[in-house]
Amino acid sequence: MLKVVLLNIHLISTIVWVGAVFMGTFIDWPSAKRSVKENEFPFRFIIGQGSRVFYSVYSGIFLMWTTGIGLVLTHPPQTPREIMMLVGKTVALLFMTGFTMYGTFSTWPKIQLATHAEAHKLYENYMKRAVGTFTFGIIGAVLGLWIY
Amino acid sequence: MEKTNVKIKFPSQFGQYISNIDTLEFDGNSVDDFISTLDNIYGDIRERMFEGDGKVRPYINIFVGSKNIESVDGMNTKISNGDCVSLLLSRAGG
Repeated sequence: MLKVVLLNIHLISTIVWVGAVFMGTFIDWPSAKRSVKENEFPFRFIIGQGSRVFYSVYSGIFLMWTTGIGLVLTHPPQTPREIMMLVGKTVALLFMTGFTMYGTFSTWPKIQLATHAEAHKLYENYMKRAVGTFTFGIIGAVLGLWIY
Repeated sequence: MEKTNVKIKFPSQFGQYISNIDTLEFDGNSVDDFISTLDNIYGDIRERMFEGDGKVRPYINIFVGSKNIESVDGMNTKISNGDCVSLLLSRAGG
């Protein structure tokens, strides 16, 4: 029963986090870019979206780590293949968390105070990390499904 | 014009644009005068903090002492000698 509860929370938090990143990266940014004049940065939309997504993302991170640790403790991987997959999933999650925290503590404060030209450059790099977060999220989710 | 001395408490990300100064003496006694002085000395300050229509970017909060200028008189909010002008950013990111 505990395994089912942990697994479901783990899955939902993955959907929330990876879904938020997907929405921001592949849907919101291309639309927001077109809503302003060339060379302008859509500050209002992007920062507004970043502020709203903050709580979903960090709830997702917290729940994913706690339920993940809970799953490992209650149902440790048994075979070398499962252990390898768990290592891969943990590495993916570490990259996701690292990219996200770097964004929160370094990139977003800079964007909020950037000129239009600077913001475009900062956001370009942020988007590369967001694509990385999304990719690692999918990899981690698939590995998790194979383990459990 | 009267001169006003203030303490500045800005996030480190902003400090680099104003040579990390923590005090400023400027002509006038309003937030607008304060920002104009920073803009004249360091450049680009208005572009970093304001929208095209001259309003402060909505996620940037400027405080004089403990009061958000938006709840006082906006850019016309008075600053007195010894006040602390601080800037608070929105928590964001994913």
